[in-house]
Amino acid sequence: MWARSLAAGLLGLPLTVGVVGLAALLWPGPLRDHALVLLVCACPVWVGALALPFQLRSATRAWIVMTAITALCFAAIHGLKFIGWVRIA
Amino acid sequence: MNAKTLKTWLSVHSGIGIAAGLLLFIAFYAGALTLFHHEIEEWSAAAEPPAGPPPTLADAQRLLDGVLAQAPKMAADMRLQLPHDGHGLRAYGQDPATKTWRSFELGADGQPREQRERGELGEFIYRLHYTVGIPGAWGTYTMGVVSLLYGLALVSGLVIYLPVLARDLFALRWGRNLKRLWQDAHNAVGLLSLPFHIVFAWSGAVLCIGTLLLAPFQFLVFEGKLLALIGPQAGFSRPVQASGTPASPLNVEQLVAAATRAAPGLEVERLHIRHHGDAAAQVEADGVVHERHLSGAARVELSGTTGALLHPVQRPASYGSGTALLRGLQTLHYGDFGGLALRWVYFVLALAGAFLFYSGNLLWVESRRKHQQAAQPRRASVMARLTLGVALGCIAGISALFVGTRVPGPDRFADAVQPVYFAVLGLCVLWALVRPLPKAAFELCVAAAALTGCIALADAAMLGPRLLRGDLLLWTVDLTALLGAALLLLLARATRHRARNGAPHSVWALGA
Repeated sequence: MWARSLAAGLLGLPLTVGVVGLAALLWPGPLRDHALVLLVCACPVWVGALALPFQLRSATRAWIVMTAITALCFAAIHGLKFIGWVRIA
Repeated sequence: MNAKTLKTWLSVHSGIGIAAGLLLFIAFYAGALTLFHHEIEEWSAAAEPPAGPPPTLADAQRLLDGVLAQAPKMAADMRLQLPHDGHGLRAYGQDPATKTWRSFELGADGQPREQRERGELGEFIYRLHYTVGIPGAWGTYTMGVVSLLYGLALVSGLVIYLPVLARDLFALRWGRNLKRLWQDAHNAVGLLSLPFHIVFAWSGAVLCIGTLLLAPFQFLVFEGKLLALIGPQAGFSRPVQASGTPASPLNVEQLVAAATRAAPGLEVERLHIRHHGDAAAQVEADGVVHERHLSGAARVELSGTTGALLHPVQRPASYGSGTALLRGLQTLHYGDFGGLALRWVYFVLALAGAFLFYSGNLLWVESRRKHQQAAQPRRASVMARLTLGVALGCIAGISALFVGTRVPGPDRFADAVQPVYFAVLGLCVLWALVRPLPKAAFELCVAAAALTGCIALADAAMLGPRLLRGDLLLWTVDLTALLGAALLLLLARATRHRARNGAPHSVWALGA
């Protein structure tokens, strides 16, 4: 229980920022039009991220899955910016 | 889902209940009352002499000029609240000279009078709603985190309940098994008011930590450009630079006229004036328009010297999707979109929510009961005591504030509001911790009922003739208080019955 709760507490926010941030960058159309909607939706996404570790089979798996999703999202955010597919304007 | 996962979810649900249930109880109880914020303020001012004629825009101008004469540096950034439904005329802002937040109203002599930071009854209950009494910004942040936990409690509660939902939803099993009845009631209230709770968990988190939550996005994803991108849509003010060239500003009446010209139908509630008297002065006029949208909030951004419109008017019909969602959530939270009847519906739903947290905690206590032995686990008994002390202490404390408001005194009751609330709450918690539990439960219910009933007595004693003349507001407050007192007395009777006749090996039983 404690290991899962710690995963939720420590990785919940980074995961939310990664997932919502990536979604905002990939969404078609200008950022100005949809960024705020997605940011307001960050709260329910955060609750989902807090719930995730408790649905997974073990605490170890929870830590691995959450770290992996977060790392992938941030890698994608920086990768897309690096190759110039997305620009913050 | 396998049994192990279900058990994990059950511990998540009860863990959150233990950690946040009591804070949520206070937030819901104070929130239910905050729905009637203006009515409570009007009620608490009922003993005062009737106010003079409502302030005009000329009064607002007098206040603005007077404040700027007293604190010239506030011209850089100040707000002028114009009188509108229940709100009075007020000028406020951060004074760069003193680095403090200052607020002024217009005295009877036509001079600005500084308002002290006073805990008026309605204001205190409102603050209690979003800070549960924790001072400073920490209270708000705490409640933001609590809102997220509350969201997680809804998810976990739903996951636990879904497998038996079809069978149990409309079952309310009265019978020998009291725990089953409470469990049924907890589930039914939780599920049937789920949409209400989803809205409150979401909007509560957005209102308390929404701005804070922008920080990681700003720096980790949007390269520091987020606020420029969405600031105005989210209701933040655009930055304004002073030019250094003085210019004669428009007066309040001209500003309001310019705003209404730009947005026909706008009822201006607030002017946010920056660099008053400078050529680059800007004014945001905030108010409402009635356009049959969920939210009526509108903003007009004007030049402070010419009244020219600087940016497109923000009004419900032209909201972007983000603004519509944000303002919609705020409006759903405040419950001010459907008149008086809707606020009573919200009131009942909020009290039902408070019941959800109270019953949840008691269910946790009950499921830790050892049926065959007299000695009960210590943590169950401590939790039962805390639940009683905090929940009934919060009710008793707020009722005591209502009663205290009617006590005549030189400066009314404002300065004592906070100490009295915490004294009553503290006393109730202490009482619940030191007395034998069944006796404490009964006595606290009676004490809360007595204090609540005293609201009506205090009204009758202090404002007798007016009550008899038939003031709808006073009657409503007093009848609500009497109804609340009666419900608390019923609770007291049930508690005593259970202490005498219930299961002997229970934390609630006398002589266990």
